Amino acid sequence: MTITAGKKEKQDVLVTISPGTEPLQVIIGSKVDTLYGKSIRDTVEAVLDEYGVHTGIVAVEDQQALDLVIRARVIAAIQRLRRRDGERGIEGERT
Amino acid sequence: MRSLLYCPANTPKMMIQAGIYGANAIVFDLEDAVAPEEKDEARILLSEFLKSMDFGDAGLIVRINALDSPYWEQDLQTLIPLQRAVIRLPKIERPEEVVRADRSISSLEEESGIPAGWTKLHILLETPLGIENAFAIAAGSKRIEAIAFGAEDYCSSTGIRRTGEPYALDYVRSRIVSAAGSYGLACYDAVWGVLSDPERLEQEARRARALGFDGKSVIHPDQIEIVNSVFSCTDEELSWAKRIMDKSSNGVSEIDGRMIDAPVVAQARRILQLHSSYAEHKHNS
Repeated sequence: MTITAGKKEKQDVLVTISPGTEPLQVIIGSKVDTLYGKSIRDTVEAVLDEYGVHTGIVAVEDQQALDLVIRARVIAAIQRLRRRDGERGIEGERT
Repeated sequence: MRSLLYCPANTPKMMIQAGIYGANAIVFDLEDAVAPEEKDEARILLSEFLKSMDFGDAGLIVRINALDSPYWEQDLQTLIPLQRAVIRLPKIERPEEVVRADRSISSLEEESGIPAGWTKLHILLETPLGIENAFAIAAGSKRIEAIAFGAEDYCSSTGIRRTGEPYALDYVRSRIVSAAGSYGLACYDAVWGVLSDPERLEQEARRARALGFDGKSVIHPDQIEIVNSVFSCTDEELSWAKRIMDKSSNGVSEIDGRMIDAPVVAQARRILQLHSSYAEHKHNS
């Protein structure tokens, strides 16, 4: 069962987390992937690391969102998942 | 502040642009503009915006969720440690509610190492009971710096039609002005929600200004210029205020047959101070 946060609207981002036990996989989809793909990935991975997320699949559908928006939506998705599953499939606490 | 622009707190596109339109303040809305299932992500998004985004010299206000909702305490837990925004409390009807919020904020300020009393409040009165208790509510906390009017909810609780005559809300507006004036608070008029009717917006703003309001909340950038214009000092007012101040400093006690006493000087001083603050805002925008 997946969890989402954010929206597929301009300057927003839709983050989907699929919990699992396999090593973490981050999938980035963005119209500006060529220019900003690495920056988006760095932002997402930094938040996931900050919150101790090391497994599962995290898909990010960017609509040209600012870094702070991406950060907020990833945090929201993690917190929703933790509330729902009580840590199942997502390891660790915020570091 | 003349214009206070409401902005939904879960819409990045609007939040990014909120500071560029010349509103004196931005009111980020966690209440009516955010669906229940989005409250959590809106709170996080707003938090990141307040931490990182430069909104120029616009004042920052957050309308949190009502005290009878399950959300308001989490709103405060997120916002108070940031030490960035005034809190607007909606649907206040009794002074005890203000005291309750005040205590919660005091506790969070202490936990966060923030100076006691740093967080200020705007009180939103939008029901008949709230209006009738306006004076006791205004005295409910030293954090309160303004009272705002919420007309739509008020009208839905009474037989007043918002599309009717503008004088229909005169009693309510005057009571708010009087309560605010009793405690040295600012007061801000309600939004006008019909975007296709700027004439009525101006009419409402003029009515509110004539009754003593300091400014008006708006829901769209197109409304800012009209509201700023209505609540700005006119050339005639400025000229009058300057003459009063000049003459009073020279010991003159009468101008054009009107006695210049302390209240008249205070009115003139207020006009010049308001004009100065508006000019400063325009310069920085």
